[in-house]
Amino acid sequence: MKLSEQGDAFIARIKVSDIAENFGFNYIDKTRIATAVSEITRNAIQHGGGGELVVNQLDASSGIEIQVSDRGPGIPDISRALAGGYTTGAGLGLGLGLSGSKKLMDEFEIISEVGKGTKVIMRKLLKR
Amino acid sequence: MSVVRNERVNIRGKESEEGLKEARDFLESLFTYSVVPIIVWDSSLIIERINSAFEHLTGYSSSELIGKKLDEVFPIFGSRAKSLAGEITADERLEFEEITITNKDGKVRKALWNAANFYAADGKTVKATIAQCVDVTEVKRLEEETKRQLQELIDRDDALRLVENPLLEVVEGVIVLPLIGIIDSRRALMITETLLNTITEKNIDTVIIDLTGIMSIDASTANHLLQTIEAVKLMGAEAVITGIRPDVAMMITQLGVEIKIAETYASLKDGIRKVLKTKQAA
Amino acid sequence: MGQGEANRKINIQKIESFLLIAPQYMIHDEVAEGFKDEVLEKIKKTGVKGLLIDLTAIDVVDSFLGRVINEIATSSRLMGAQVVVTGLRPAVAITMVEMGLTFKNVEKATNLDKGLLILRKLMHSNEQTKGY
Repeated sequence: MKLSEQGDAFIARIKVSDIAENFGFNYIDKTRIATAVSEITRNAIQHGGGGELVVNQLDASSGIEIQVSDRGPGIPDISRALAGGYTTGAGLGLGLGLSGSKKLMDEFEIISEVGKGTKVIMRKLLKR
Repeated sequence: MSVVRNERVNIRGKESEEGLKEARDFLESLFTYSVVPIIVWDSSLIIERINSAFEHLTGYSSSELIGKKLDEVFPIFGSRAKSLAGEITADERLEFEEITITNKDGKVRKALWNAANFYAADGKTVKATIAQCVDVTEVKRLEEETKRQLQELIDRDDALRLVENPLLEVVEGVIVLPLIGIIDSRRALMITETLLNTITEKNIDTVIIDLTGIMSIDASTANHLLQTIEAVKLMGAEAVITGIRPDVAMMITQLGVEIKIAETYASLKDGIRKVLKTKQAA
Repeated sequence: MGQGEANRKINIQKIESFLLIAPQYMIHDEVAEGFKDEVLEKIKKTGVKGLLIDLTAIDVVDSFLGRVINEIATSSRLMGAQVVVTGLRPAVAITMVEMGLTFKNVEKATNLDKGLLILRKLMHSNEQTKGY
């Protein structure tokens, strides 16, 4: 789905939460996924100028994959962003959201190029 | 094995008679002393012959069975036998069908049966049916027992997870969570989940986590413990840790994990006492 | 899909001498910011010394909402009001801890009743220390 306005992060979170439930995730994992989606989609909207959210199911129904991409300014120093100490003047801003989301998910990748945009791919595996 | 004497007897009649008799004796012994239960019944389901293995299987003696109708003595087996006659032809036999037979004591035996027909000279009219079986009651019982035990193990594994880490409400609003042994990350998560849900459901305000049963601790378990304590406090309840063994305490400090955010007591008893005192004062 | 006017409704009720904020709907960002101002305005207007934030209906607290709540709490304290947060859901608590989020400058309670008790005590002792 397209991410453009402020309300979209909220809508995205609800949609992904429903999908996660259909995939069979338990309540706590659903909360983790929803929280991570909320963080990353907000980043895409507020710092990335809007973008796209794609949800996939992993092979053999083993989990969920969420991709959020934007065509914004990109992240110059990814490792610093992930360390959680990155503020771009908006208070807690980028930092905590990114590093926090990483801790909530099982797999987490960021591909970012300054001036081109950012793509975040995160995956959570179904337990049992 | 009887030896057929290769003697040339002068009178042909005598030879064939003797040969026949020997053959018949041989077959008689085979039939009577076979370990496999054998039964013969005629076309009207009257029991003609049984051997001692069959007596043994069913607990009936031949005198009790011979001349009786098959389905009267063995209802289940008999009704199957009735339909059998039609099914078996000259070329086809019944092979390894499981049919139950109830013996004199009322016990049900499970057996795999083979059956074949004897035909009259015309080759079509059934004179009698002979059936033999292998008693598989014990084998089947073992099979079921193994299945049951396996299922029990699976169930117990789930149950153990609940039993091993029970939450005890010592006094209204105070629960004790005794941690025992090695806790893998999956179980740790379950424990935390149950603990936090219980806090909500039962209006708990104090959680005493007792580590007396923990002999050693690794970094991830220590971290998990810390996170659990933080979550408890975030929800608004107090966390108290008791029973930290000296070596566990050392490991925790070495790992650099700070459990300063909770009060700690050496023994569970002390912890409970202090909590109760605090509650009374409040 | 509209921004959802219904979502704008977050109850701020004045009860006795404190404010009860119990978000019934999931809050999205724009609303959260405006909401913060609304709360502080009301504290100024009513002069209450206590604020009870009940999160029972909240299913996700992310870094943004966490920040907003923390800011409300800190500002309220500066304005002389005690703040208690209640009803945090287990799944949300675990998620927050795993992310490294927390609520500062607030007392927490497991449910509304306990929260009220704590708030009253805090407000009472606060008055006492201010007393002569």
